[in-house]
Amino acid sequence: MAVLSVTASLASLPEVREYVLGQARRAGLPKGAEQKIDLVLEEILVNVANHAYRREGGPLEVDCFLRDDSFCCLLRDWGPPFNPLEAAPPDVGQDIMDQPIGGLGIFLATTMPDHCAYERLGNANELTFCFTRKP
Amino acid sequence: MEFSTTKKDGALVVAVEGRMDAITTTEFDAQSQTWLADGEKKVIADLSGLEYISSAGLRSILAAAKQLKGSGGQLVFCGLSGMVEEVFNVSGFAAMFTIHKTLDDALAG
Repeated sequence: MAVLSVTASLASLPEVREYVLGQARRAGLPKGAEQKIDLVLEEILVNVANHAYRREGGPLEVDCFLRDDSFCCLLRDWGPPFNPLEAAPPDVGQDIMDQPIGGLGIFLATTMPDHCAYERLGNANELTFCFTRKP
Repeated sequence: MEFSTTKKDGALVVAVEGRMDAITTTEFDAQSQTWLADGEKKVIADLSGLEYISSAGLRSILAAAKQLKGSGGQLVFCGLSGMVEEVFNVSGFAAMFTIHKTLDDALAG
């Protein structure tokens, strides 16, 4: 599978979605998993665009591959080191008036997939997320 | 995202359909401002037609709920299923908000 290179911004989300969901469909992933992939892509892309590149644009690479019985997607950016797997879970004990608005996206993105891994390789952040191809 | 609103038993029922993502969620923000402007006290968001929600959608919901609560109102939910239900569970929203299985339950509650 070829690697897709885009500029990280909300405007490139439709292209990234189409690319990854197309590959996921060809890999025979169930429909329920597609919406979760959709969620991971949106959350990570928005985060990379807004935080890694501070809304100034920067490269994002998207690679899809099959590993064992899973469909995997690797997202690579060249922002400052950021491990999304360290995102804190929400504090649900609070009253809604005290809940912070925001900060949930990364936690959702790393909780939804069946498997998630992060690596800092050279100057790049690499997040790989996988969904098993069970029916 | 599409909305259809009806008034039932003193509550405003807002049926939300489609996708609530970083691109479309401003439509929800605009919609919720009308409830506040109209002085609605009980708003039931019927999400049975909602296919997808991301953290951007959750942010809008929380902002609307806070404003509504600040003016003595309440936002409750019904009809969650599929990935929308899963996102509510994982994000803790299911624990923070009142969620009914069906619209009838929400109207009775």
